[in-house]
Amino acid sequence: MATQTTETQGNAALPLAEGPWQAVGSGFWAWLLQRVTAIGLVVLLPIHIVINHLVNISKVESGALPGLVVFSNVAERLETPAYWVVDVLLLSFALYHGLNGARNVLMDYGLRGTGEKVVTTGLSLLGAVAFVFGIVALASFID
Amino acid sequence: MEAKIRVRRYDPTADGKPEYELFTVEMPHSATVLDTLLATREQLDGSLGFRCACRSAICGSCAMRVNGESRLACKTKIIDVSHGGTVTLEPLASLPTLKDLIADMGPFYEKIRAITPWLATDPAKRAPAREYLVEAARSTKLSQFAACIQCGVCYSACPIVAIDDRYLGPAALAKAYRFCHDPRDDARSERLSRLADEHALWRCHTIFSCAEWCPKNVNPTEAIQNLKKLALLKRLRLLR
Amino acid sequence: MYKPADAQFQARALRTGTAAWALQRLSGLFLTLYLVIHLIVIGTVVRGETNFDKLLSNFEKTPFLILDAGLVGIVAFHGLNGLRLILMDFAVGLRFQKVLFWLSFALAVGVFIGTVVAVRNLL
Repeated sequence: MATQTTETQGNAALPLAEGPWQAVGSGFWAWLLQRVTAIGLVVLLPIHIVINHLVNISKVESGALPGLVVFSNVAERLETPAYWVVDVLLLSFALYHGLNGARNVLMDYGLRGTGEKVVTTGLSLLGAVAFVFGIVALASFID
Repeated sequence: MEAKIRVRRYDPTADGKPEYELFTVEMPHSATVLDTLLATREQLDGSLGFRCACRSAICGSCAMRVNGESRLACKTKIIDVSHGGTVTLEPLASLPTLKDLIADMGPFYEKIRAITPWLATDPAKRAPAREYLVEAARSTKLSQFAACIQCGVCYSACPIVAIDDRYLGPAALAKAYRFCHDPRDDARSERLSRLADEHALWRCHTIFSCAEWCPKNVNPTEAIQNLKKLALLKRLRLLR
Repeated sequence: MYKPADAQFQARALRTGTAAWALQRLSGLFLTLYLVIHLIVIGTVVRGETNFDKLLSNFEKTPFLILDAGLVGIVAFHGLNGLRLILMDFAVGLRFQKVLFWLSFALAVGVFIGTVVAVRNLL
């Protein structure tokens, strides 16, 4: 009687196809992080919009605040560490998601090889610079 | 009824640029695009180039673009696409043209070959006394993806194939899933490692054009998303 | 190789799937550009409190408030459609992909209208 093996898929070194179209297996983490940051942003962005703008609407209407976004209001908010966490996470997630997204659009149009390396390095540098810039800006509110 | 077709003509031996030529031919009300092409070739222009064989949506030879939409010519009725006017016929997109409506299917087949479209079975692991057994539910699922007739409609319909020539495309990836999901295959891990690639799985953005136009209801989109799930589980070491 | 200029839109009729892809891309690129502008604008805080407040008060005029509401709507669309894409990526609800797209679109329009209503007294 034949024993049926259905669920064990062994890792056998069996001859697989070769050739110029062969995919090599790369880009998993970029793909996953795009989705992880997406979920993070779906949570953090509404929080950001609400605490920076919407909660101030009634204050502006009543005249307690001169505008929806004023230095003193932001500075006051950033005295609480929890808001710092929100802002730094938001900054890093948004930069990663946006720049990786742009990279993906280019890859859809066939970017690969050296061009891909150049673009990835360039966008990563841009992201790093923008991140530092963002932290400096946040810090300026509480100096 | 009068069937009016506007055909993209291209003769590679004549040094010319592609041109569109209009043909008007009297056809029965139920005529398909393929019927119209055959009548045109017989009555009006014997040099008209197009592929056909079975005329019953099983061989996949007559795949072409009808008013920009990738379909099987034998399965498309003229009255469904003419809307009282002219039907534009062009060869499948994203493939070189050999002549008129005949596309060079070479790159399409090469990409399917690239995903190892055969069972890779380790004889040391399995040596059944009789046949390999596959349970019914699994077999039904596999037959959905094995139903692919390799016509190229999905490949031609996919916008990503159109702009990224390295992308393996829906047919190749659906076939890859057919083998990853087959319990008789022993190379799933390697397959997934290769497929989890920028120009394989990660280029699919669930646009669904392939699933919408497939004449055999293969639904490559479902296959590709299942592959993504498998690739994720494997990477997180949760795949047995 | 037969590759016409509109190669990426194979079907002359724009289908839900291709429309969703195009809109997600366009909104994403727009939002990335906006992010850079946003960082630059908020970054002017390094020039001091008064300059910052003066600059930002310009953006509280009516046309900018409407644009901001539009921005929130675009964020809502990109986010909701993005969630739809994440579901699709894991083969959840493939059958409902069109309905989910229209839902995202409708909710995004709702968010835009809701934001305009929320700031109606400041317009």
